[in-house]
Amino acid sequence: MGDVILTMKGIDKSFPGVHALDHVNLEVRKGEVHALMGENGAGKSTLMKVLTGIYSKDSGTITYEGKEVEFTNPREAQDAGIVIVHQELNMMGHLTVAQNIFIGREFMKGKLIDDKKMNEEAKKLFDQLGIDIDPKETMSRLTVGKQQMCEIAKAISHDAKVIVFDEPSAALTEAEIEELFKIIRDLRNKQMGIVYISHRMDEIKVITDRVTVMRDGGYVGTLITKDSTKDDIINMMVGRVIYEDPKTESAVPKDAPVVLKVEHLNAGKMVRDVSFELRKGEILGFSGLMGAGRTETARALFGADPKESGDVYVNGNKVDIKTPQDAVKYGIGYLSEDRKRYGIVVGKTVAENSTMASLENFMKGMFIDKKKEDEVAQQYVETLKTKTPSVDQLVVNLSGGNQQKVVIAKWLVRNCDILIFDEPTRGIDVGAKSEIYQLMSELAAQGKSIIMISSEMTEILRMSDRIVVMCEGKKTGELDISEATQERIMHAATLRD
Amino acid sequence: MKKKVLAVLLTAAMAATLLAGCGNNGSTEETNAPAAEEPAAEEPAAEEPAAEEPAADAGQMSFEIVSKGLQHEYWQAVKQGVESKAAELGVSVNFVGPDSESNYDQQVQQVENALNSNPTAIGLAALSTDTLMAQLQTCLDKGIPVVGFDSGVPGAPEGSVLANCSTDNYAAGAMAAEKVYEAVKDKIDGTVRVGVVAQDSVSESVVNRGLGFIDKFAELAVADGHTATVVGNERYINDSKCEKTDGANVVIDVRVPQQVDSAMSVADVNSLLGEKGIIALYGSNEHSANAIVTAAENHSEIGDTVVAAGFDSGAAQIQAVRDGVLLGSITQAPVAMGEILVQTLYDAAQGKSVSDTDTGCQWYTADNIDDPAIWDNLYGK
Amino acid sequence: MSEKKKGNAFTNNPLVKAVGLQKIVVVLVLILLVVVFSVASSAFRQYSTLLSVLDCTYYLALLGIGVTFCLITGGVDLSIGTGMFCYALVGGYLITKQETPVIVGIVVTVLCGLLVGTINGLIVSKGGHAPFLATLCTMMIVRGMGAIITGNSSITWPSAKAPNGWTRLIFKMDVGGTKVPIGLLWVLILAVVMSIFLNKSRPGRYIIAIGSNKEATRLSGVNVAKYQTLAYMISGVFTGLAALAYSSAFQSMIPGGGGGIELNAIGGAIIGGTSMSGGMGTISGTIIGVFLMSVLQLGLPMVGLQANWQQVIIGLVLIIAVYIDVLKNKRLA
Repeated sequence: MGDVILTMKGIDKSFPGVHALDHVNLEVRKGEVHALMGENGAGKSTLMKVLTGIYSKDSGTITYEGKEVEFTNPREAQDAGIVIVHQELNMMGHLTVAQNIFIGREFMKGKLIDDKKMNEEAKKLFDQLGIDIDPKETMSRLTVGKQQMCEIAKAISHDAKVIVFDEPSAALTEAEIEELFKIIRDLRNKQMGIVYISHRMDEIKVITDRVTVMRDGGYVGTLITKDSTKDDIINMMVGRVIYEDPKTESAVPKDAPVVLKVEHLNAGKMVRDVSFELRKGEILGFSGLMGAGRTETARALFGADPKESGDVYVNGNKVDIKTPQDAVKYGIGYLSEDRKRYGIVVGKTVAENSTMASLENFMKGMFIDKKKEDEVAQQYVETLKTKTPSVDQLVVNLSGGNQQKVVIAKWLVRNCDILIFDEPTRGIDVGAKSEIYQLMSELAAQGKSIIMISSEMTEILRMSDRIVVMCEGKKTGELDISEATQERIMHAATLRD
Repeated sequence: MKKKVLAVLLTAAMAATLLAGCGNNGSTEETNAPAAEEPAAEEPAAEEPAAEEPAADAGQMSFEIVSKGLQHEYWQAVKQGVESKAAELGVSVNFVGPDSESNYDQQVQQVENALNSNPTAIGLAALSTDTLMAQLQTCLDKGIPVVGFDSGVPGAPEGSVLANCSTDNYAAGAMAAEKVYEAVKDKIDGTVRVGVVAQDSVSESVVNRGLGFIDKFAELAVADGHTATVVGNERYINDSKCEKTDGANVVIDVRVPQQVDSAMSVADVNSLLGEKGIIALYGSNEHSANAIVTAAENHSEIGDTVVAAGFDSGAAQIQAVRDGVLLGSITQAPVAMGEILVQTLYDAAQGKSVSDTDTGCQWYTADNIDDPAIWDNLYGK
Repeated sequence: MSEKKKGNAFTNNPLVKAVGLQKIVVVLVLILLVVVFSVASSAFRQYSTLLSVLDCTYYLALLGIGVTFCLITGGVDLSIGTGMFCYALVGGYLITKQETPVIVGIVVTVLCGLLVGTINGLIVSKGGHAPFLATLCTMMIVRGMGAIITGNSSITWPSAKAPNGWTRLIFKMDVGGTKVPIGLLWVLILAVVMSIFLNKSRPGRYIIAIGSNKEATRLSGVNVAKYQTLAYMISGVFTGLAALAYSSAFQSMIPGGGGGIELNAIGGAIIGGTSMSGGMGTISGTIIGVFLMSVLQLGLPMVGLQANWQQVIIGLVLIIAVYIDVLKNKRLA
């Protein structure tokens, strides 16, 4: 490790209603790989956005190469030598590798572009990195791993001194990760400062020199990687917060019948061989970090995305769910994490939304029986305590919590016995949250079975009878609530096999 | 910010439009004030049959004339006749027509507008009588006389259209057939083909010019001991009076493009020229005749081994007749039609009885084109 | 790695890779069509048919070259069909009715195209309108403007033999009684120039980049609005040139006409391998594609298919071409 090249000190950033960064520190040295870790929403991305000028900081200082700096846009940062290799790759798939690397600063020969020179220069960059990519190949024909190498080459071609890798390994295969690490070590040897954002504990141990941990927008501490254990890091990530009212034991009787059984479900990269059971009256929590494959599992189960293989049993009978209509037919309802996109039609009324999934029950000849629709909608407004002036109110005018209740009503009207709640309290304020929690408990007590996908540890520990933990498309743990702790969940959530 | 600027611009634009609109209204009112106000005052009287006001003053008469288009030079010639006659009689006329001859809706709207301006009488060349039934009934109810022109208003409600001033298109087509037959009759040897290039199969005038040609040509051929048949477009096949004989040795082939596009009609001519035994071509209006003339640039056989005839008198056609590419062409008398129309409207408005008038047609060739009796009726000079 | 590099010996053949599989297929289909039409119709084999096919190809090819740039940005220009008629009407009106020198009519025709193209480009790039909608609006506007400017009268450009009729000879020269389709040379020269522009100049490169990934192009520091506008300006100018080619070949046009021709040009581009979703397209492909369209247009009636059947068949051909486009994009996704 060489001299300090970048210091971020006491960085503070607030958005309306959120204290996103609370006096965070980060120090990067030349020739160091520095891991930045934290749970979802801990503030890692925000910190990097402040660094590269996408957000401006409220207070604190950034010192780069001995001088205090403040970039106002990513291009300034890039020109100064600070480059981010994004998780979502920014490339023009139809252009060649070399054309991508030099977009916006092409080599010219008179009025025409000198593609030959660009190919040569790109080749030099790749030689420097020790990777074998044909600069003339069309970008979209490369694998994700190779595309990422091109992004790195592009970064280096900007004379980068600090490179930030934002979850670079998320979409890579084992072999590609090996190659990536080789390049990162190479860059380290060339005295670059590298910030490495990842959730993968094993990688952190392999590739990084130091770890800075963030939690809830705050700075927790910095460790030397080789001197610390995985558990040390996990403890720093979850902290010692006392959560209110965690469930201590399952409310589900041991002999409750299994209403849903999923065996060896496979669907793309994000759902690999997932098996689990759901019992009558149970709330089954799905925990894991971002991109663990929980939503993908739910969507494959629900028939929203195609599945490759795997069996699903409802009430002991094997069922073939190919489309959401099939799922609904078997009494499965899905409450999407993105309500506005998939859950409700905001421009329609409470009544119209409530009956949307079961309109065939509300037909009078060719027309919709408005009276019956209103009656049923009203009934659910009362049972769910939805706060709306009337069932004719447009859903767009309701608060997030009440919109969520309308979605719940939609599936209850449909008589669904299995409800999948995907991030049920996202974007909902604290008061409404507890109402949703209470509602879920009541539904479970009435014999409905619930799968609850949640990224909030509090929520998982408070609501679940049993917890399934996923990591990278695989089920990496299953815990009864009586034995579940944050640490055990986090451990499973960062487990790579 | 951007949105604000846009809003300001839009508002300014709208305000400007309004002001401009007001200005226009003002000036129109000024010039038309006497004419516009008085008919309004007499409105109850107007509901009575027009005959009760035989001595209507020409200066108070306003005629609304709705044609089938304004785009072809032909309509401009009609308009010219209309305007010169109107000036002579001292009546005001408003000559309108839809943007294209397939714009039925627009013509209905124009007739509506004409009715709303309470005209003394209406001149009408209907694109389709069916679409104008309601308006014609209104004319009948309100006692507004209607005079048809050009293709007229075939099938109008009894009594609504007092007279028609039109070329007898069927007879005109037959005249073309006689001339073409005369020129090719010695070439009829084995199976021969005669191509008819038509702009459409909807407009009555275009269809009648085609049918007149087809029927006459077939009649003449049969009289000479040949057999005839019609192929191609269904409308023409079904409406032709020609006895269709299987294996006939005179085949009349009618081509209609999918839309009015010169490239498509030229393609029709090209494919007709590709047929075996083609001896003659006939284009039943300016568009179709122009297509033949354009195709002749690539096909030197037109005007040589293939006799071609046209209808109407656009500039390119006149040139082609002079050059011998076209054997000849039929012309209507559009200027005369416009004049006769206004005279008939004038007579009808004064309560005189009016009747159908054939406004005439002529066959012109390189030899007689400069004859003033013909030259004056050509519009594409 | 392996899963993305599918293909067999044929598709991986360097020649096939360089020219593009689709273009090779389209050329083969084109040859097949010419053979079929020639066998079925003796008239098709004649020199005059070649002249007629070329007459139909010039304006379609010019429209196609222009609209290819819009398609590559991921947009479209629907105003080119009615636009072509409108600009030809305006130019012809000046020459025949206002008796301006022919060169003025020609320049105005092309400038009209440039003007409308610029407006299209600004509405799309600065106004943020969907290209489909923006150019649909200008399509209506030019349709009306053509009729308004000419006073609703159809226009016939001067005949070849008239003293000011030399525009008719730009695309088809008369050499000792034989017609020489010189226009093919002009179109090919323009195609080569625009092909180099698309592939070798910075603006061309950025136009492809925008169609491939607009946001990434913006983040690379490229003025996206500028080059997007440029694509529509190119389309406009080429529509103006197409108006000259149309009036040279067919002489007369009516106000309000031309609708539907844009679809033949866009169809030609897509058959030639340009993607409706942007990022992909070649000028050579478009030229081959519009040739296919005009051979179909001329050949189908010669084998006895009436106008309405031609439309049906061309529609079916387009469905296949668009389906290939969808497949290609799936493969790239």
